[in-house]
Amino acid sequence: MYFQYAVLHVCMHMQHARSYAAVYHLLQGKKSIQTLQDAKLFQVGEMYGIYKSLNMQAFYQQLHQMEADGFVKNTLSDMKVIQITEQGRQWYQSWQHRDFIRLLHGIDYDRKERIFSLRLLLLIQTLTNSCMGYMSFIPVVDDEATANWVRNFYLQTKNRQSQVLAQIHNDLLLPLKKLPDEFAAMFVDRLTGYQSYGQSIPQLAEKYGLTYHDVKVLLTAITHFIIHQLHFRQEDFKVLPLLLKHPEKQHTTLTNTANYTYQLYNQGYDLKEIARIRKLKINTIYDHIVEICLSDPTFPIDQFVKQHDQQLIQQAIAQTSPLKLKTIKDKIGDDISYFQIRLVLAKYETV
Amino acid sequence: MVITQDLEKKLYDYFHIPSFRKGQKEIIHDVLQGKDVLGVLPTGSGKSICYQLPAMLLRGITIVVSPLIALMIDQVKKLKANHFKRVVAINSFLNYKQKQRVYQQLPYYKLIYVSPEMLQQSSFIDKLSKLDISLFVIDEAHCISQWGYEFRPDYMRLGETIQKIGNPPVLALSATATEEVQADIMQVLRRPTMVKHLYPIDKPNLVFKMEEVDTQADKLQRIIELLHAIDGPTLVYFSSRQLAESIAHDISLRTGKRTAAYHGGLEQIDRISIQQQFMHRQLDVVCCTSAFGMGIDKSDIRLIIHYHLPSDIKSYIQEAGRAGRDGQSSLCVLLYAQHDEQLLYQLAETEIPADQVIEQAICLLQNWQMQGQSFSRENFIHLLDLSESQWHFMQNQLEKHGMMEEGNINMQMNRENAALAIKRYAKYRRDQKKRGVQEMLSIIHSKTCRRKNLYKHFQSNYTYVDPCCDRCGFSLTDLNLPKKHEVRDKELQWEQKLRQLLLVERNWVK
Repeated sequence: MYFQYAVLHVCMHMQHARSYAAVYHLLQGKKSIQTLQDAKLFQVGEMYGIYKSLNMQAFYQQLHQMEADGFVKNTLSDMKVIQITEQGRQWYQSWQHRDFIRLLHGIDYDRKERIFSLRLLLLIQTLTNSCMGYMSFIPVVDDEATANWVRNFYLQTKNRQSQVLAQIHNDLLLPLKKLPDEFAAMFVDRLTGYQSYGQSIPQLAEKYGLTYHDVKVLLTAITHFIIHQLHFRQEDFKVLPLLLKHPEKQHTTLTNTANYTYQLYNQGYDLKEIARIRKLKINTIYDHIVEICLSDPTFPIDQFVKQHDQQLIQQAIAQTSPLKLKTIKDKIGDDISYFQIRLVLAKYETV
Repeated sequence: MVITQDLEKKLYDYFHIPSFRKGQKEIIHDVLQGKDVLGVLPTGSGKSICYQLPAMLLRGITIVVSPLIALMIDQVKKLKANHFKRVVAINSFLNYKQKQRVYQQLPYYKLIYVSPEMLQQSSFIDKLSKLDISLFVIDEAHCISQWGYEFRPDYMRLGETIQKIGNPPVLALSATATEEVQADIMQVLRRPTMVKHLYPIDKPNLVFKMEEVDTQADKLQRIIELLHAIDGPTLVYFSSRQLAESIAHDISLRTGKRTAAYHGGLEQIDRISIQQQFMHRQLDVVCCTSAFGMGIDKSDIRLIIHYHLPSDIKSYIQEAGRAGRDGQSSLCVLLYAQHDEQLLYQLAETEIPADQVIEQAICLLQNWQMQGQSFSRENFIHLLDLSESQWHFMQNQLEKHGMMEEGNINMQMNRENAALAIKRYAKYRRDQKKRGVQEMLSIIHSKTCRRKNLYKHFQSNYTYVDPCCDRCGFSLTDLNLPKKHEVRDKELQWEQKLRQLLLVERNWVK
């Protein structure tokens, strides 16, 4: 039920203002301006990208299941808005495991989570096999970037592998002990060592009486929690913080294309010039600016929206529920553009 | 020149294998002498060693053409695990950047796997022709022949290709080649004097049983009975992912055997985990689709059950042939319920795009090119609603007809003709699949010896064995398999498990 809870959690926060596709994009971590804006606006950033491999079909099946269970209704209506039933609401508020949601930190650790998990899996497999003098194992992770990182790490620690393993043990024990036993056990079952291969997601689902989707969400949650502990109590850890170093890319949430626009903007080009240089529509450049504003809270918007207009927009926002751009725009009139409203939303608003 | 007496030592040095299996040494001996060789060896007899060892010993580069991309990738992985790094697989899964990087260091490699469609690109042939090539290997060589079950038109031009890259010695390998097919291979490759090494693909230690049951539920019941009767590693083959999963669940509930599902829908990590768990005896039963098994070299599989009808005789021989590689008695059971073949016919439809889709695909590319849009794989798949195998079919065909090159659209060719040719090939593939299913069905319905019916297509006679098959009077009680009582480790608490996994001694932590 962890997956269902996550869906309901997002729906509750979105207050029927968004379609089911928005919920899907958020969980799946779509790198679009709309999705990033939703994450901030509805204060569900922690849910962003917690289930990257989720496909639309599976999501749809799950919605049907939730409808059959009486948690939601009208998912098939024209509005495509997921409506939570009274039963769903009650379950959402009283489910005994609902605290797991606090482990999630989607928007903060979006890319780190994947890199960290892959590195950890392959590092443990490599070190344990090497300690046992067996270097002809089949690696569970066959991702080149991860393999290169582990190879470097392995070469640097070649003569103190058992110490490093002991340190990894201590590093993992600390956060895992703060989790429910079942979560910790599931995390450990996933690891691969010497002559002992980790459990697949379906195997974990079977063992712990969960669905495939539950396991996916839970493993992400556990990993987020571990990374969170590493960040805030760095002095307690020896090896695991190294796994977070040298991520593949610098900006954590900015898309490449928005990043390029940002660079041009910083060089002094105005938005129309950027659109011309990049041969993109001006609306696309607007999207990038909103995205930049979302990812960088210090980004000034005054030159796009006058202070006075910003106040007008904020008043209109305050009177609008559910939050829809069209409704807000109708309240203010033609002088103010959608771009300006979106910028103000990005800058100031959370529900 | 390598002295062949040393071959055993080399085999041990490179692969840690103490001795050759039947046929390997003879083939390698001739290959190292620079002869053209045609080798027909049963599945699981270690065909790959026949070129992997020469690749390490010969002065120049060994090129291997293989239609099975998954197998190719798997072999590269294994060789790398064995510390042989100068190996690479070049196929359509590599993106542009990866290809460029590989191309730059081509002379560095000793062993280069290529997929047949790569050899259709003249720019790639040019690159190969500049290399010092000592051996050209054709894996699954029966694909050359129109008589073969898996005729691949892109294999037809291999003779030409070999000439262009400087006429190196040739090694053609197959597990299933009738005399007609052998003649075709030598003709297409333009090597009429190949030395033949033929070994029967019939394995005397396999016992065959084909059972007709009334309902799908009966199949599960039979599987449970078989698993109770026979101890040892077991594979159950399915043609549906969902069924593989749900039956795996039922088996572990009802027999207590450690059972898991394996299919193409699993994440990459999970695929490797399940394969390796099975190899390392962490699992007793794997419920799988045909995606499993390629490159799996487990010698003690005792039981192979087919829940669904295999797609043709050759696949069946290949899948059943994964049992008993250690030479011990093993059982292959095929369960059939009426209308099972319908599922295969449907699959054939979803694997190969319909004519309409082929036309739409070409229109779409035309539009994109006119609008100056670049090719987008995601949009292409999405707009045409292609399955994964349909996408691969389209990609291969478009590249073959020059409409796509290195991921760019290139539509100046005569596209009506190309569309016709692609549609014709699609029909051919569909018909071929249908024929394969019908041949499989005829064996099931036949009242005569299974062994004879299975192998008659591939070899002139077969070994008489006892026990042989259900048609020759075999019943389960005839099979004398040792019962093992494995003591399973007790499930540990997670903290103990973590300590054990990370090799941390109890008293060592503090």
